[in-house]
Amino acid sequence: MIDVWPVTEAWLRAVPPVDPWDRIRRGAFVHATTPRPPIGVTPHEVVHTHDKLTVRYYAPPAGSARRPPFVVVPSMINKAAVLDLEADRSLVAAMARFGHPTYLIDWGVPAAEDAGEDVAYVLHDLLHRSIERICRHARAPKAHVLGYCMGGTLAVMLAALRPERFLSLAALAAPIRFHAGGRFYDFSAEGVLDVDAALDPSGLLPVEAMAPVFKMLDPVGNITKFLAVERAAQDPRALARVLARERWLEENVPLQGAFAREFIRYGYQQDRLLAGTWPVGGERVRLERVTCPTLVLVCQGDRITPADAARPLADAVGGPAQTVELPTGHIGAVVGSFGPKTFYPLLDRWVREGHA
Amino acid sequence: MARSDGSQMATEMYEAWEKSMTTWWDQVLESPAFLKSMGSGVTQQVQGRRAYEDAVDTTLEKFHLPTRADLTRVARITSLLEDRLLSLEDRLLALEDRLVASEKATLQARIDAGEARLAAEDRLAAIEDRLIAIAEKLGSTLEEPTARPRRGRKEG
Repeated sequence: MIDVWPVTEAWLRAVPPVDPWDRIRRGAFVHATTPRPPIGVTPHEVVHTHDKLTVRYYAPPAGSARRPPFVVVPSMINKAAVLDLEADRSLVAAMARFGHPTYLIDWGVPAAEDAGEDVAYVLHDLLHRSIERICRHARAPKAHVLGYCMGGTLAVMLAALRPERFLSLAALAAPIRFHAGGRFYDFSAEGVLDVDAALDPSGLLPVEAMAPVFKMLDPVGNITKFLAVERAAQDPRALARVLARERWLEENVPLQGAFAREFIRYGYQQDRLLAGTWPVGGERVRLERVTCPTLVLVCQGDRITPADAARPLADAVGGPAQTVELPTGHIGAVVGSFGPKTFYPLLDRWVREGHA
Repeated sequence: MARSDGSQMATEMYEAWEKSMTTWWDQVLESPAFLKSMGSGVTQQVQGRRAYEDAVDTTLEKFHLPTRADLTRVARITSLLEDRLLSLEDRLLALEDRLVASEKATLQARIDAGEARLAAEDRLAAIEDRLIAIAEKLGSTLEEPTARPRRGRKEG
């Protein structure tokens, strides 16, 4: 493959942009031609595998005091590596550096044979078993669990169904009141999206069905983002940072059909979680059964999980809960400069002291 | 100067475009008709892909080659076997936990028994000491009459 970057860089330096449109064109060209930087490169050990799922372990520095495990549950529609995007903006690396034995659930990429996996299978067989194995690996009876986005909703549901391994629960940008889900709700509402018809021949909800929804969350932003790319193109490090974020947006993962059907129907279309009527494996998810200390992390500028969709968790759980409003968007808390400056230390304090 | 003015005008035009496009998209995205067409667009795309993949499967079947469905079936069986293995592993780990717990309990019981035996030995030793002391006391008591005037009834 021909590396066009040296020519692009020379062109960008030699000829200044004429107007914003020119800058957008240049940004689009850089965006299309520059290879994406690697992500998920923090050294780790795989401590459990189950089909496509792997559990990655990020060890704290040698000599750290013994602490309970810290488990990160990401969304199932993104690659887990987005929580380890860059060396200096990696949630898992930061938590390990703070001295917490940190574990990242990597859901993997489902294939046709996984199409029948439903919410009960994901919660009990995949997530609960992973947390059990993590506790065994860390030789601890309980774990601190952080769920992000859809991973947050799943962590909350598991904390209600199987609370025995939860030392604390932190839900970051986790949709709870689905009907307050903004545009994401508009696109998945009953009468708009027929989930069964959207499943591909393998029985999966394909990336192609989800990508337009994400693009439509900020249609103008799809064009204006090239201004940021053009600005960053002057500095290889800044460009790598912008393009690493692009990997987050570009690399979605398909969903198991049975899971997608249930999650969209009971969640976005019928809003059953807060009502306590979401059935999982013959049992109803009742949020008042979440009795461990709970931290509700609300991103004020979030388009995917608007603040009103995330906030109600604090009042719904049965144990002590605290809400922290973060002045960022959906991904800003994890990968923006806000992460290392504010968010990672806040999480560290939470798991050390049980409050932020 | 002319360039600067031109550049500023372009920037202003761009900003006006961005603002008007955002407003326009906000209106479009709230339109039920647009949302419905988006939903049906996704469905149509998937239907097209389904038709294509069905055609591929039919061709493969005619050549007596395994289709996607055949491969999926084999992969599914492998997944189910892994599930069963993991369930067995869970049970083995639970047994191991119980074994470790019972070993700990046995060890504790042996320690408790050993300590109890030591305590019993100590108590026995103490009783023995007391007995010896009593015996000594008794011995000295029996020897005493030679020193003291004998009391009691007269012989004969």
